[in-house]
Amino acid sequence: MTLTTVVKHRRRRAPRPILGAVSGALFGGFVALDLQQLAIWPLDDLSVFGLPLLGLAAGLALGLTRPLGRRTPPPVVRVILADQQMPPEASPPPEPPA
Amino acid sequence: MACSSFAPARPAGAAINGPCAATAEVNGKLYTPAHDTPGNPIRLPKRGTILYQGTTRTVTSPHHGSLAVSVGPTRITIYSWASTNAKRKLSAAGHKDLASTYAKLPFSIAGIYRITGYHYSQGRLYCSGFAYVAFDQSPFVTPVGVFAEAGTVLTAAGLVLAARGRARR
Repeated sequence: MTLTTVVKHRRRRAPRPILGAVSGALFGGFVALDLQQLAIWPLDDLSVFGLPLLGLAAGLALGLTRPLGRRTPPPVVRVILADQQMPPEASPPPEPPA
Repeated sequence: MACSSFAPARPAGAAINGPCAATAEVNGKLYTPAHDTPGNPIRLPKRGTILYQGTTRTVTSPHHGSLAVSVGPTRITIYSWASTNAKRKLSAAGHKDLASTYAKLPFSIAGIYRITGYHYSQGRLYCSGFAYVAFDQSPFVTPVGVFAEAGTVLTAAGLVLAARGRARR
């Protein structure tokens, strides 16, 4: 009897560090503008430079870690016997005979 | 605008450098140099009158000065004055109608701004000060406000896309 082992990995989504960094920096700048427009904090050095830099770092981290992406599932290991047919992936349990 | 180091009851934390004093009265409400924090700004409604007054301890002649809005590291001059001060005045005062002042703006503005004032005598800085000014206007009806809101939403969507990652081919 021949045994074949198939290890099927679901690959993780690719990182998007550049999109994250650019979006984060722009987001920080717009938040600074929002705070100014809502009369909460004026456009000073802290908000004009600090918030975009903070956004850039946060966006880069989000793009690299992908916390909203699919988690890596454990590998699916399937052992196939050469003289047996592989069962379908989601077959319902057989009904008991009446 | 605010400068007064000889004012007898100078509020704590007032933004003043030099022997000047200044006050502003907006629709009957008096503003002093104490309005130097973002949480305690001079509020400008869309209608009404602003009365302003400034004094110097000694005669400044000739003199000039300016008011500038701070935007990050840059300062945009919005008003300036210069005179020989031949009458050797120690004070100046005036008033502005807020509705007509708003009408002169290219578009409606909202938000809070830091305004810095400088007064020079014989070419040398005599006094300076700053105050925060807040416009009583909703940011959702001004071009800059709408731009800011739209930009925030779009860039937030970009962050969500980045946080999801890209599907591999």
